[in-house]
Amino acid sequence: MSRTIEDLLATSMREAVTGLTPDPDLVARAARRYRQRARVRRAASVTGFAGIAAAVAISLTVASASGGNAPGRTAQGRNAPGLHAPVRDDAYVVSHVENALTAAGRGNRIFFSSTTQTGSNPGLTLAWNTRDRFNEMEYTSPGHLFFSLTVTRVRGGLRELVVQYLHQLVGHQLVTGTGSVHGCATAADILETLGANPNLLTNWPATIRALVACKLITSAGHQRAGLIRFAAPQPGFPGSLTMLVNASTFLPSRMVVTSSVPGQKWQSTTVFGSLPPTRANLAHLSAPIPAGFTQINVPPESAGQSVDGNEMAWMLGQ
Amino acid sequence: VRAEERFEGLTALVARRGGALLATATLLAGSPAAGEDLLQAALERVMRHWHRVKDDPEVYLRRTIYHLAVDQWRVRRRRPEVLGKSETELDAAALRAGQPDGTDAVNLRLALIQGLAQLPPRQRAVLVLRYWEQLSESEAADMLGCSLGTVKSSASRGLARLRDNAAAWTAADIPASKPLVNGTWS
Repeated sequence: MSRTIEDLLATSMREAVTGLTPDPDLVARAARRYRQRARVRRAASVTGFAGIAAAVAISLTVASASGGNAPGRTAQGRNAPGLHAPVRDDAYVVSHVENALTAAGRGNRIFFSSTTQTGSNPGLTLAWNTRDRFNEMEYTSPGHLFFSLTVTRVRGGLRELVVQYLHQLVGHQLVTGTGSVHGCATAADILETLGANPNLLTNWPATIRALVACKLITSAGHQRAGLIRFAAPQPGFPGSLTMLVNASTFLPSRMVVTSSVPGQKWQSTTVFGSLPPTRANLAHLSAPIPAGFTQINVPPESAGQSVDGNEMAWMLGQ
Repeated sequence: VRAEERFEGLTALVARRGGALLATATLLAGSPAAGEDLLQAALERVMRHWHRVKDDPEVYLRRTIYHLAVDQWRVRRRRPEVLGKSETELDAAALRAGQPDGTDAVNLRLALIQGLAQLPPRQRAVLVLRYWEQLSESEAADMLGCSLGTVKSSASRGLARLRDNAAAWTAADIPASKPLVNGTWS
């Protein structure tokens, strides 16, 4: 490694705790708990064991009466009747994931995903996303680059560049309009699309935000090894979808999708990352076009009138 | 005197510096939820001795957070959420397969934070003081109330364990970016 473990540790720590804010009720909660304990201590000093029992009984009554603000409750125990109870309620997790993804979409960092698919149509898809541009590169299972798709936001629409490496073709297309895409209906479409081909989806921040906001995937609540699990409860979904979210940054870490459609069984594993906008990383937003490829001009199409237009709009988070 | 008025200095401190305090507590406790509990426990402790706090309450609160993290927190806390090896735990070998790009660095950083959470409390506290708070070894020793030698040995052992963890993620045999040769990813 070119960097020392000390540097890496400092960077990791910074990233792990960025954006943390304490519960506004924290001091009041501590004060209530302090008063409760002081009451128990006073009782103990005056009346001994019987007093302690009485004070504990009173405290428990107060605690149960005051519900969510019970003095004995803690962040880990707030939702937790048992040892493995959720550390945060679902609404908290969902709102933090949405906020983190929105921030990821707005910032200048590059959202990166690497999807490996096994089963039918095996291969590897790498995708890089910024607010105004995305690029995906698809590789066959042996590692041959066979397809790339680059979409750029331009005045009045989106410009699409497709490179077919096997056929040595380059195609340009202008997709006019914004292709208005409305939240949950499109998220349902996307989930359906995931079942068909997960590699079509490259704007993961927008996609996941929609999936979470529309409750197409929900938090299972449990936090283990610093990760929170989301899963798709869709009864009609022919397979399974599991996403793991970093419990510190609330950004997705991994997503595993399986299809159990007969004849179309596959599993795709996507690893997400956030990269700084260095020159080397920004270079991934453009696909390499070797000399001698044949240029094809595709007629412009209107977004919103075709599936492709909707997909393009989604890829840029509209 | 109502508690709100009595501890208004603490309320103002948490409103002003709550994020930084929670960040420290989170690194010491291993997760944001456990960090918030640690911070709450430290606030309770400071409230109990509030009449003695004459100087900067933040210094007092920070010291309390560290002392609770090292000495008592692990005894008092509930069973931790991290249950050891689980299917969701980052697995270097599994994640590296077919993953030739920048996520290695992201996963390495995640693995380091997980490794930090699994260190013994004193080693973790020393590493947080040294590389998060950027304190010197003697300042760290003063904060924890231990000897300089203890800080040195704890830091050395903690870093050695993290280095072992990180070794699985070293990208030496994986190219930083994919070289494309005749359209083939080699």
